[in-house]
Amino acid sequence: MRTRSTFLGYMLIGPSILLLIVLLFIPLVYTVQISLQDTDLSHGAPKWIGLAGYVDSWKDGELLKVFMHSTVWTVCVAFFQVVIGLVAALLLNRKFRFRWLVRAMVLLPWVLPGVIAALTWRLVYDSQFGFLNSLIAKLGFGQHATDWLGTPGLAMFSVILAAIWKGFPFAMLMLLAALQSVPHDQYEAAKIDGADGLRQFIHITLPSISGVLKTVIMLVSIWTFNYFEMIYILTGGGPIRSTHIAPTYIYELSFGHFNFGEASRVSVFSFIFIFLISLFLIRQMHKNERN
Amino acid sequence: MKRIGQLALVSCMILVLLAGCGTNKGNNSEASGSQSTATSSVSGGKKQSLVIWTLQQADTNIQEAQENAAKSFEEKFNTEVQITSFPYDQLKSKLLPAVAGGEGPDVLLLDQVWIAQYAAAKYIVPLDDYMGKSEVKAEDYFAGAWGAGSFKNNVYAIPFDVGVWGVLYYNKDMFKAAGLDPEKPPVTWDEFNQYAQQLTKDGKFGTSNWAGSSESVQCLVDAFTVAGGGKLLDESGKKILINEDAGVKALEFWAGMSEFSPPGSVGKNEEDAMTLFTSGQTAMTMYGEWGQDTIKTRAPSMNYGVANLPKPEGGESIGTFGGFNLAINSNSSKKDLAWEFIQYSTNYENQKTITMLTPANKKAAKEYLELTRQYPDVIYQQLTTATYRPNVANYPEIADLQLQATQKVMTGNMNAKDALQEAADKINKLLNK
Repeated sequence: MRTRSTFLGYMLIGPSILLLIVLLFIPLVYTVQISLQDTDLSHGAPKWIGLAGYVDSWKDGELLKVFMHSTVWTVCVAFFQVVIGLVAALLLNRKFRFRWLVRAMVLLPWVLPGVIAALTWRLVYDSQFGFLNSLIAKLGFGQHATDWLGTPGLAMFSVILAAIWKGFPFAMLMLLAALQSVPHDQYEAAKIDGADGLRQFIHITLPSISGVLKTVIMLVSIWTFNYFEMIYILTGGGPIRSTHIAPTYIYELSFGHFNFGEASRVSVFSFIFIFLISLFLIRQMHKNERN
Repeated sequence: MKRIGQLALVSCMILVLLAGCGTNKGNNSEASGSQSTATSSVSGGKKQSLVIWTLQQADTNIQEAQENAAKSFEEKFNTEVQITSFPYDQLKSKLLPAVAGGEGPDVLLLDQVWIAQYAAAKYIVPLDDYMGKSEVKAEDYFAGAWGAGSFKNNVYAIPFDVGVWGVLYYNKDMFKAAGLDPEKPPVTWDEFNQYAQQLTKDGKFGTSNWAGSSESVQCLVDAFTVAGGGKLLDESGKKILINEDAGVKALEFWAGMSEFSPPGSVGKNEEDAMTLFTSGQTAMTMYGEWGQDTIKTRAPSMNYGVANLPKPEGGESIGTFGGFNLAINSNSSKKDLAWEFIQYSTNYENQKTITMLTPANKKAAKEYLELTRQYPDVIYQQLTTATYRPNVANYPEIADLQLQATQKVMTGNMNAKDALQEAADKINKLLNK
């Protein structure tokens, strides 16, 4: 009887396993296979080079720069998305008139299609007619024509700002849901014991939402690392490659230079990168559960 | 009993799934089977089918003309033509993997800058032998477009349609307002700069340059390099020459336009520059000849003129070609028929109606321009002398290095000489890989 039910279990998960193999594992293995080939067509058809390509990728320093940009991008965007999301969630968790309206409005950046959001930010950053420059002028800092997306030192800051704006509502939404499940009697008890707002936050709010918070940090980090369209549309990786991150670089290598081997190698590196981040975060999550 | 029912249900589901895969496979083998029978019966009465991948047409007239042309080809050669059309980005990303995998269409429509790559990888066949047996002659096509279709002394792709980067558009009303003769556009670089200076006032600008993530800027800088008597590549194709005097001057000319351009050039691209022109913010802009269509839709009442690109003192007015050529897949089993199709679609009669850009056939181009464009002679002149981008296999990477050099100069990070030297060193390494 027992064996039969195990068999049924396997049968039931069979279709989804099959789908996973076809849609996920085969392309994954194929990517690894291509990454072991030299596909630079300038010297003929692709040929097998084994692991040598993985070493060569790092030689001209381009890849190192890309991964450094990726790290700055992921850390800044994910950190501020979560922090701003948390602050927004705390504010929206209070009672005030038209709260439902504000909650809906704050979600807007997140529900907006990525391409449209990015194109809107292009207008915001326009040096001549852009909203940002005119805002700075109206605030009394003087007329100027900063080229936000065309200046190497500023472009990274600009794309990060746009990405934070685009993604923070997700963190807010998740954290708001978590906040609403914190029991009120704990706060009342704390108040009687004389704890102020900050203490309540540190000792009650944070521990209660820490599980959700960590999940949010992990999801947001992975999504940000893989976030493509914002940078692709705003700067395309420029100027002077100052905003190239892993996904835009992979895109350029594969569909710009048609060098699918190199693109696959960079993909494998990003896979390892994300894998390590996730491993670290998942361990953190488990540690907490055990305590 | 219940469990058996479940089991049956699950097995049914899996069976359906497997069957789905199975039928697909069946279809595939059937399709390839029918193809192989078609090829084996060349002399027989059965129809061959020719597969062609091309670009999607926004203009229904062109699409209709292409369909009609395909139909009469079908009748003439007792064959079946299967045309699949893609938007540019999809054609770009789908064609190479398909051809590299030993499949793909018989006739390939290739952007000029892809040809060297396909040829180096032997994905397309040299056409010299076919040409010897036919009436296709290099002189009938624009020289630059023909040059772009060759690789290492062989012809690999016949020009289909062309565009030139670019011609000079100027706003006659703004010329008048600045006290300039609207019938005398600038001819030399010095004149251009002087006019641009005069036109820059009251919040309007003389022109607009750009260096965003787009290749058009490289077409123009290449054009100015050749205009100044320079060369892009040496004869062997192993050494880039953009760091020589002509290249440095070309880049300085382009970057120098920032003085008369709206702020923030580096982040802009050619479309931004065109928008500034059609909205009356700038008085002159450089754009391909098809920009006339853009002006017609965006600023139909604009009083504008078209002139040749300004030339350096003692140099020539030169543009750079863009456009598409036709080539034959080396895995095609119907190469002869494919060649017939290429001849058919690049001949004078058909070129007049089926091309998306200006026809590559000179005679057809002349008539086409007279019918569809203002200032047809200016454009024809610019097309006749236009150069082409370096036809080397890793061109996309090279163009990217060039673009970075341009951006470095325009952001003020480096001077033109050093930036081009740095780029040339990297490019030479790529060319000798």
